[in-house]
Amino acid sequence: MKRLLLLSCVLLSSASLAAQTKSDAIAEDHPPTAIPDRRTILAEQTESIVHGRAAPGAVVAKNNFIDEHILGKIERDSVPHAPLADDATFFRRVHIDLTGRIPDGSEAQEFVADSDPAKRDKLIDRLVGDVDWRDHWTYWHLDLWRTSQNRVGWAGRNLFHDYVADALLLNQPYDEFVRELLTSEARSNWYVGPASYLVRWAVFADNCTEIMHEDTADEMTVMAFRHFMGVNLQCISCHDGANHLEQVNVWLTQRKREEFWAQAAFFGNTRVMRRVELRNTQDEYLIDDKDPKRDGYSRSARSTVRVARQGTGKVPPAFILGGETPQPGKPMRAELARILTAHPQFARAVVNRFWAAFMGAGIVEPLDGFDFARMDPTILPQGWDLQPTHPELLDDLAQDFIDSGYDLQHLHKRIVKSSAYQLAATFPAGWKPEYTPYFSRRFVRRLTAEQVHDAIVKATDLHVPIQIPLTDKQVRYLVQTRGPGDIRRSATLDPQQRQDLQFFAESFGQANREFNEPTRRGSIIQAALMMNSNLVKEKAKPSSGSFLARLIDEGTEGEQLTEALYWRFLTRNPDSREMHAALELLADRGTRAGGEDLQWILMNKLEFLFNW
Amino acid sequence: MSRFEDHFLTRREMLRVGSVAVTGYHFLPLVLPRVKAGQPTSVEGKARFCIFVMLEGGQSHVDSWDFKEGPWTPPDFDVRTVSGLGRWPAGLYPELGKRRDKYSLLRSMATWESQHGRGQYYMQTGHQHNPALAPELPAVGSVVAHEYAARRKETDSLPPFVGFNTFPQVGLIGSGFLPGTFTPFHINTSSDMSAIAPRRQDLPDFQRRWELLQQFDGRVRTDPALENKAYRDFHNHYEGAVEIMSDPRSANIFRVGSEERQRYGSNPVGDSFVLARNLVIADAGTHFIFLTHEDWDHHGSIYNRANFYKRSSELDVGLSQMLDDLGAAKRKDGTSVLDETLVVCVGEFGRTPGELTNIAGRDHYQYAFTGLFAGGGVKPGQVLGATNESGSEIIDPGWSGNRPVYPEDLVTTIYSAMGIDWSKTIEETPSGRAYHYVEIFSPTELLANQVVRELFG
Repeated sequence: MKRLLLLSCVLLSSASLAAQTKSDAIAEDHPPTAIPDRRTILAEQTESIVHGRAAPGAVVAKNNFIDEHILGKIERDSVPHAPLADDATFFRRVHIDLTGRIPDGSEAQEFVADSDPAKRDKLIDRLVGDVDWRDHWTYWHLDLWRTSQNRVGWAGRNLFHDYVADALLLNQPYDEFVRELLTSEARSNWYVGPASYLVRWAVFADNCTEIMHEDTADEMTVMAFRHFMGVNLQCISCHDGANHLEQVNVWLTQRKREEFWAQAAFFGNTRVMRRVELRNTQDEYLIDDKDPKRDGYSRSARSTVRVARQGTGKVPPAFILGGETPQPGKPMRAELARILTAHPQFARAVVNRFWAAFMGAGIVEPLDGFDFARMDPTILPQGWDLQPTHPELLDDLAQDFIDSGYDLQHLHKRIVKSSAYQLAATFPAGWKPEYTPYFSRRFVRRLTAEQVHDAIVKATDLHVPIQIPLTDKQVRYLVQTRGPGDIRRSATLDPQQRQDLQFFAESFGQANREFNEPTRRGSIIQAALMMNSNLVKEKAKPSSGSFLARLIDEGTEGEQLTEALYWRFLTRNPDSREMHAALELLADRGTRAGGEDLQWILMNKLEFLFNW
Repeated sequence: MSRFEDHFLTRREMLRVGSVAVTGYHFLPLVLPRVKAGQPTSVEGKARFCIFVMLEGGQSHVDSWDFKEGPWTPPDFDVRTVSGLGRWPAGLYPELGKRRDKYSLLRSMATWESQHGRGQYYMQTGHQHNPALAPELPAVGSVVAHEYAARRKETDSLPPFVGFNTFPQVGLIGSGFLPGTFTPFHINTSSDMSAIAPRRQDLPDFQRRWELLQQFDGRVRTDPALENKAYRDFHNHYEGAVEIMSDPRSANIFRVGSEERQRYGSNPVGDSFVLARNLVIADAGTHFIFLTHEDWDHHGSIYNRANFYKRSSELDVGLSQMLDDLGAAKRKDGTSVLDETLVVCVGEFGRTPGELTNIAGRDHYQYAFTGLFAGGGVKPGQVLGATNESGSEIIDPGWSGNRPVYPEDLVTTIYSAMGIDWSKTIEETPSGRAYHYVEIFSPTELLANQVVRELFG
């Protein structure tokens, strides 16, 4: 039975073009390639204002060129902006954003008391490049690249994790790092770190063993462009852009499937083989460019995942942005890696992604939805607005990244040291959605699944070690695991603990690195778990070794105990009403039982679950 | 009535602010999308519930419900001729073999997908996976939830769409562009369920803490002047959780007793059959249940005890027990619960027929497989459709469509059984592209998707 031509694609509907060209690029301009989840998150972030965490009267200085652009535009357009976040808020935020974990309460108090005017910059310099930073951003990259043990094997996943962790800790230039990912050859991805990035995207024939050569080249191309060039070529991997993407992306509308094939043809010699025949393992792969049978990208190759290809013969490779072709005689993947990382869009896509990770929204949204026809205000297509909220900032950030030698740690410091990043989530009065694209205040967001768990562990100091499969390494925090699959395989957890932790993480939106992406969307089950799960209730107890038990053993009680717990969980002092209620509770129930209740309350105070 | 329940009746009263006098409020969205009816259709409409059993990985049809013997067949499959079913592996499916008056088999199913992720997605949504639209497309269960929102009763407290144990590849598909309230309430039956339905003895402690929480966090969660939309939304989830806990039925619904755990096979899918049964019998707001039976992807060593035997036995026992219990449970008017519950059991595709592969397994096969249907108006005891001698090709579709039954037809049939006009369209979507309950640009539509009416006799 032949597969019929699929028509299930983005078709032009009657909705007007104007409806898609919003001035508010962040809150609303979401073509279908954006996941609605992100849309929801952005809407929640931009509609929520958390009060009372600002530093009143503090000067919002222009710390670097980012502030010239962000604050400059705010001033030019007379838009109000939030005050600077106070020290405690900044301390908590910068720990969550840079390391994925909430800070230690007493360290926070020391930071607040420190009178050094340069203390914020010093803290940032200490955190960026530190091992906690490395753990967080390694996990983040593997989530983004969906490096799942089901695709690359446990051994391949562990090795890849360590490879990425090293690249970050050693601060390998990011362009060089990406070139390694795109060019790696390996007899087995279990022995060569970077090989897992590409083999993860192998597409199988129906026997789940043989590889579909052209389908795999397509998949690698789509992912490399989503990750490193900020554009999703998925649509044109099945059909021309015309008559499909008119409301979505002008540049893509002008692209043809043949051009996508020419891009995918850079992987036309790349062979991926599952090592079933040699080792009888399911998830071990060879990747190289040496198989004489794999000599190019065929127009007539069958597909198991895409609309049937048409035509005959091989497609010669050509880079989709600018048409550059590989130099004759040079390995094609190396040429692809060279052309891609030398293209100005590479730096722009990368800085935009990290900007969004810190600021809550990209300068261009969606992060993989750059429309190259809407970058220049002087040649905008009719009916469309400029896509970036701050085009000059995007250029300057990209240039600064290039000038630094693609230094990721430098980029992180640059963004986090700006006043723009350090604004409060509070707003003086009269917030309007139109202010959103100005980044004129902090956008709040729920902690990720891993961060919720890790915040509970960090605050209470109670944890069950999680063993990394195939190793004797044991870790404390989920962000230190090599991926979501570790929970189910951890030898240090009993079967019930595995199920409960797995369910907790999944319910809070942990990605499985297969099909789905991490989400911060709330749900009833999350609320139920925070209130009633053993995982939370047990951690509220003053068990031996816990922070609360230590306080009690030291004789801390009443006001001091309340203050210590507030700093520990929420990085702030209790207000007078909270203090009053807490003292009543402790007096009523005694320090142990009352302390346990108080810890349960602190974990269920919503600010505990949010990053503001 | 305990103090706890009194308390929560009061909390419910509090939910009636602003003249919203509905319970189950947390499962009702404020704004529903505008729906456009399509061509008038006649629907079956006997079912109010659907239990969709997903055999994840793809059950081998030729070793189970469309049995084909060969030299490869292990003797202990105990293949016999069963009246009405033809050749039947009594050694694998003894219980279902005894209950052939409870369900019907459709041996002419096929799909357009041969990969797990895409195949599972297709079964969960009725739409082929399109990377551009996938983020906004709702699962069938979310569409059912959306359709049933208006029928929500005063006494309903549970979410309309519940999922069990759905972890593989695509995971459980959510509500897409439909309101978040229609997203599946996903439960891992192996995790501690007391978080959702606390034990009775834990309730007073919870009540005390819940009151304390209002004192400490009430204003930040509920005061509209604070513009904390994220907090308010999250607080709404807290209220929803409290509502489920406060319903005295919950503790029994979300519990698997040790006797019945044993009767259902003492495994995760057995437990999920028990819970699905509880949800349907309780009639407390849940209408679509999606449960996954993992691990049917037997590329190698299919006849090892831990593979096909184990999965078949789990399914045989659990499904049979559930059909028995649903059949025995009666509503006040005397109808059985099974009569108003459509049970569908199907993999994302079949497996290669004939000889086993060189690693003693069977690979993916999209051109023929079998689905099991029961309850909800399905006329039991039928076998519709037939494949050729090896099971590689459908030779008799066995229904008026006179071609294989594709996922679009399956979804059309489910909607029809549940009284939902499947020809509807929602035009306002994030992409601007109209959402059709049943895809109209699919290959199946070119063949005119339709209800498999023959199932209903």
